[in-house]
Amino acid sequence: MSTNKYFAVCFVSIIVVASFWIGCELGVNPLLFDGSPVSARFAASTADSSYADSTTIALHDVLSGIDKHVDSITVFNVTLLIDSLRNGTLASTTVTGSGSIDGTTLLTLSNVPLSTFSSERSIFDPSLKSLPGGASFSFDPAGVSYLNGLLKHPDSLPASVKVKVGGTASQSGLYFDVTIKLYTQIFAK
Amino acid sequence: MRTRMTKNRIPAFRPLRMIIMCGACSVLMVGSSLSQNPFEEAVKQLSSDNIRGYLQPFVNGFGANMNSGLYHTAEINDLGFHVQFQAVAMGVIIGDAEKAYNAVPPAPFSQTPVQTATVFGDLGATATGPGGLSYHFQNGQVRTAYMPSAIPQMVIGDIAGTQAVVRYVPLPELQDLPKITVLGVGLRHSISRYIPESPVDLAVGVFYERLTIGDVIDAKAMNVGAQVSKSFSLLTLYGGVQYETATMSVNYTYTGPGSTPNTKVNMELESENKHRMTGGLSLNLFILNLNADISIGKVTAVSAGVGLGL
Repeated sequence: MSTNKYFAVCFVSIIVVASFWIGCELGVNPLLFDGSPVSARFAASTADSSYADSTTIALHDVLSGIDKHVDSITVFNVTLLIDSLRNGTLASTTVTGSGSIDGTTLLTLSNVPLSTFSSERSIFDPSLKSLPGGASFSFDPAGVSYLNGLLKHPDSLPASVKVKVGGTASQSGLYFDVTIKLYTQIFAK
Repeated sequence: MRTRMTKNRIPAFRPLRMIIMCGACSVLMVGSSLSQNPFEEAVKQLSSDNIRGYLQPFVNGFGANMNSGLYHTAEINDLGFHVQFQAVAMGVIIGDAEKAYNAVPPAPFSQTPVQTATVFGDLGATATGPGGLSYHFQNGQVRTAYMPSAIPQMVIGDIAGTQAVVRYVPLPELQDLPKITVLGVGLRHSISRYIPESPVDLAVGVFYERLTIGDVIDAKAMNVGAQVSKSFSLLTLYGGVQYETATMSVNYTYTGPGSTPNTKVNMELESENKHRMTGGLSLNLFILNLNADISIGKVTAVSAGVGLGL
């Protein structure tokens, strides 16, 4: 088929479908993206029965890989993981303590076995409200609200936040890793 | 908070590749910027466990379009010269059923399904959770009454009551649009040649089509069906029933945000449109043929064609 005839047919196609374009709008709403999870990791390594440490989380990292203009960021999950138990630290060891962000309490534990968070678990998991054996775990809405407040305006997003964990345990010799991870959604403009 | 509307109205007249791509890239050509090859860039930045439900209406429409417009008569001569070049346009009607689906938010939110927007819907739903948390489902990106497509095709025959239908479009990469290749082949065979006393023309057909867009999308469609037609001077009434399948594979390296960089993603989406009934009209003006039909199945599709030839 000659090129002219081919494009004649194509042009007819364009004419025929032109009416289909009426009312067709693309990109009518902002896209949502999953933000890069950011985490704070602590390595407990003490012969004592108490532990405390702090580190920083680079909040700007949630925008890693996003090349769109960002309207806002929200947190939709925070997880806790206690793993890499070593040097005789037992999974049945219970801990009592808290975690905070910039001094605002985010979570509180009381007599919670390390095994409770042997796999990554949301601090908002409803089943954490009814732990056996007198253990209790709770998140602090003020801490969650503080976190969302930091992320609400990307233009004034702080470079980092200070995350602190600390507490006492039912045994001496605490050798394990603690990871607090933040999951966010990003709203593009 | 979020801005509301960013309208990107596509000009009515663009090259053929844009028409073919309309249905394919409508979910992906979004956002405030059209960078180099935005189609593939947008895909690479999307990640969601609910993406199947979000894109399903798009896949259904895409598959229905690929399986449309293949015939406009069941009359096939035993032997004769028949070559016709056709320009076929198709469109799937986007109704309310295509604009919403039930999705489940991720933990720790309640696992109760929530009705939210598909790619053709409006704003995505918001699930509220403990501690004042909220999870927002993806917003709809395309507002349209139809999901259009168009394709040129050629009909060649007739030998022993058989015709061949061919679709072939090779379009190289150009600026912000990726390479597109469409190849479809099919055969239609007259059944009424075995039933001379049949008051109507009868035929059966099979068709296979493949469409690739860049390195990201690979779509395949196949259908088998039976057709019937009756001519009244210049006018032909035709119809048919058809079983069809369509699948779309989306392959890309996820470069967006996430815990694992450069993750290869392969998503296989299957059209829910399996059966259709078609009814249409064809107007034969010697070397010019005009036709239009409507197909009812999981989705409603319309097609119209212009043919030149004998």
